[in-house]
Amino acid sequence: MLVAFAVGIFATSADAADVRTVSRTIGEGYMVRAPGPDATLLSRRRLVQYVGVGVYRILPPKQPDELVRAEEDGQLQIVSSLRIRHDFGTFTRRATGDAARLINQNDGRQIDLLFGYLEGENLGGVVDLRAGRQFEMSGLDFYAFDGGWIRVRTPAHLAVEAFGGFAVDASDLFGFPTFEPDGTADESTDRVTSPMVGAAFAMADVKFMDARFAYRRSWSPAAFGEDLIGPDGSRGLPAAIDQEFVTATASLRIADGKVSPAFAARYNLGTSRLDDTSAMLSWAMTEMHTVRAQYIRTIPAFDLDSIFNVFALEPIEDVRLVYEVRPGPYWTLYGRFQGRIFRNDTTAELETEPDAKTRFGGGGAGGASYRRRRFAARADLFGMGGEGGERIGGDLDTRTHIVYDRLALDGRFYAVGYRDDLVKARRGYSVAMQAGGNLRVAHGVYLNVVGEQLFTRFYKSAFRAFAMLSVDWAVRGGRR
Amino acid sequence: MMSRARGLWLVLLFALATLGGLSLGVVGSVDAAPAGARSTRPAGTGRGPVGRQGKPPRARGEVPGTLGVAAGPTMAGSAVYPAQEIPLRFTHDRHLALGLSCDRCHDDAATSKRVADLLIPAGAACDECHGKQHPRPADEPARCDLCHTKVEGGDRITASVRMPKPLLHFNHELHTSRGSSCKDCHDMTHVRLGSVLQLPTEKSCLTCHDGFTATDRCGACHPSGSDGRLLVRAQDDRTLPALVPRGASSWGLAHDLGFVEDHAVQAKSSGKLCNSCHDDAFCIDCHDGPLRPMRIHAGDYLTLHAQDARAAVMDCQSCHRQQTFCQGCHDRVGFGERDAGEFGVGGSLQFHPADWSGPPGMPQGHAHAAQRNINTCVSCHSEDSCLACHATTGASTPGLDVSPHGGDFARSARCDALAGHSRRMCLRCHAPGDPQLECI
Repeated sequence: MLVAFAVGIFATSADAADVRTVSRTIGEGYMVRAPGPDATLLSRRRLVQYVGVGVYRILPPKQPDELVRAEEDGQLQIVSSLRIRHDFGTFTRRATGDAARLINQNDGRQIDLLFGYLEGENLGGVVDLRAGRQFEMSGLDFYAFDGGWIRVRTPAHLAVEAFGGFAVDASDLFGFPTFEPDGTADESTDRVTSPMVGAAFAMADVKFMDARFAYRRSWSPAAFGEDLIGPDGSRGLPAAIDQEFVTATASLRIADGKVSPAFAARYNLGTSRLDDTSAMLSWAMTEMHTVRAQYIRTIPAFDLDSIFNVFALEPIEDVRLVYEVRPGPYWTLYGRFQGRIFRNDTTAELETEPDAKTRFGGGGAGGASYRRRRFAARADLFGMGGEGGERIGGDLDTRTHIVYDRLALDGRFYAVGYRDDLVKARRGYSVAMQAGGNLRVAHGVYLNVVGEQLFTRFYKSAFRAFAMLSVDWAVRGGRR
Repeated sequence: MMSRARGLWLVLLFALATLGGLSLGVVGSVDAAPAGARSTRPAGTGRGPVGRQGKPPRARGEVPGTLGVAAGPTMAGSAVYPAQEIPLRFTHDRHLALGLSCDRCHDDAATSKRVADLLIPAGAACDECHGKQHPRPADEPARCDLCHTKVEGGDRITASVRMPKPLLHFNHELHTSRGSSCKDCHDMTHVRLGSVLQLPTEKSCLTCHDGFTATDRCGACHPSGSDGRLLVRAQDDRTLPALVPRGASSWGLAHDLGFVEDHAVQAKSSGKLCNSCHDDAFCIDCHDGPLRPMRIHAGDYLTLHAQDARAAVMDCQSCHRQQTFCQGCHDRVGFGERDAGEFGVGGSLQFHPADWSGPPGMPQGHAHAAQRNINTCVSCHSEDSCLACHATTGASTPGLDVSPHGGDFARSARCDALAGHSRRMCLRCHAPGDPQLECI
């Protein structure tokens, strides 16, 4: 609708526009064994249809000798992506009660509008904007909303942003279930519309640094608390704040780009916690050698209607180190370490003492990739232990191009042995082999098929099939 | 489930794809490109890309694939300078020592406006000094192997030059008209056969394209799509490596072999950089998609994922909403919260170990697990599980009055923050009028 509206509006002024349509039909089938003495098998038969439409370069060139409008003159475009999905298997069909309600929100539901907005870039040389369904993945979390966003760049290398709208509700006809705030189960009172506003300051057009300071707040409407008795004894609660964050992020490029530090921190005003902090240092030692170190500290956080925030007390700290070297034109080698620290709070109210104040988890991986003109492979070995349990395994991932590269064959192999640290009975192995093909049927039309055979302690054999038909076409319409 | 025979067929298919592919691939890589493998046309006898029997190179299969495929291996070479095959014998050094200028052989270079222009000399250009060979008169002996390395029978060229166009915008004429000389970009000292090694590197381009002397806009050199984002793959050959940030110009976004697992910090701190190549659909394909990344959720992940979740190896919430996606599936297969049953306390398949939870006074092992990583609890339990014990006896959902708060909670800034933002959280456990409802 948005696309049609925009095309209608701008068709009169646009001499030409690029239109891109993307359609993907994905089918997947496998069985799930429900644990228990009965060992019931549940089938999953998923069918997912994506439809994406984009209209680009809506504004015509300013100069008569230009084929396309210069970047500095500003441009408008519309992008959208719709998804319809359904699981025809017994996993959803025979579900009852709470399970049916929750599962159907993901696999038996309506149309998801993933995004659909009109975007203006560099309008008047200073303004960028978006209007419609959009999402942000940044230091402010993942969130989607229906509304507007505008950024104005000033000559002082500073940009000012403002955004607002309504947080996306999963239960809407055009909802977006994954990006709804987490913390409360899907109750009827969950189906509310939450207003949201935010603002940010960011550096603009600075060559050695990118930094942003942002604020966001969303509200829970009164409808969400209508089942509770308020402090004054009356039924129902007034509107409340559902999320409130400030974030600071920065990314630098120093020593001619050889050293790149980055930093992101989020302070949750609702829980009074710095609940997401991360820092990274990347060092390109030479053209062949790179090192990246990361530190991540997170405290699980939920929307402020949820009581889970009360129980989330201790941060999880995560340290990661990756070293990669390319010893030759065909080979890349890497090594990776990841270590995590978990903490137990020793409060008297718990009636029990933890076995240790601190628990660790971690492990490492190493691997290599090898590429020739028609064949490529990647192999990894990994091991981890501590919190969660122990795991050791490896994988091999290959691809070969044949038939003038119209067809690529894939072969993959995964093997892992594991032992849970909580329940001794949960130990076993898993071996999976995949074979697949990628076929270019025609220009812009592609077929991808993958079959997987699985052997585990619990499955003598299990088969999974996956297929995807993709159609990606772009046309340029108009007088030019 | 499938029969053992069907399983064996798949194993055989896997072996074919891996080992058979390996042999095909190695053969394909050692030999010359099929596009020119049996060409009867000597190298460089015309303008335009050198290809199969004079035709332009055939566009190769564009591979969309699953995410596992998209993140999987690609072919050798660089996304900017695809791998070349130059089965020739030539010494630039020796020719330059004779006093030959560059334009003596590369006569069109100074006026070239497109990267698609073929600027290597045609065979006929060599004939001026090396004798008539292109075409060769009947009475002239063949001397093909003087320059060509793939010759059979003395006069049959079995492989010609394969030089795909670079994935760049470049205008030689523009640069020479502004005073650039050949050696400013191409260092040909001590060079025998010219190759991609003599093409300018990004570092050398940036000496002028610094934003002052010349533009430093990425799209000035790297092709962009209609939406302004850089085209990270050749549109006519998706099997070529993608253009990925690497080295000193990557702003720390070098897409190494561990990048898929570790990209979150970069995305949070410099999402703008990600957006210069990736559109919204690219992110959502992984973060909210039915296209499960094969490498991330490999093998029997249904069984293994619990271990990952407890170890917090990955942030499950970045792709899955716990109170719907996780809880719905757990409830469906029987792991969800329930008052009694196989997986509950005392059940034959009790999920949690002994001493996990119980009435007040009993060991409460679950408390520490919740403090360490409550995400693992939330994927099966809703608020009601907690309320059963932690709510006060007078609450709308009465509990056992087991306070989860520490002793100083009522005096803390955290109490003020939580209560000040949403009273719903408090009123789930506390009744109106409860003195403990207010912070001090």
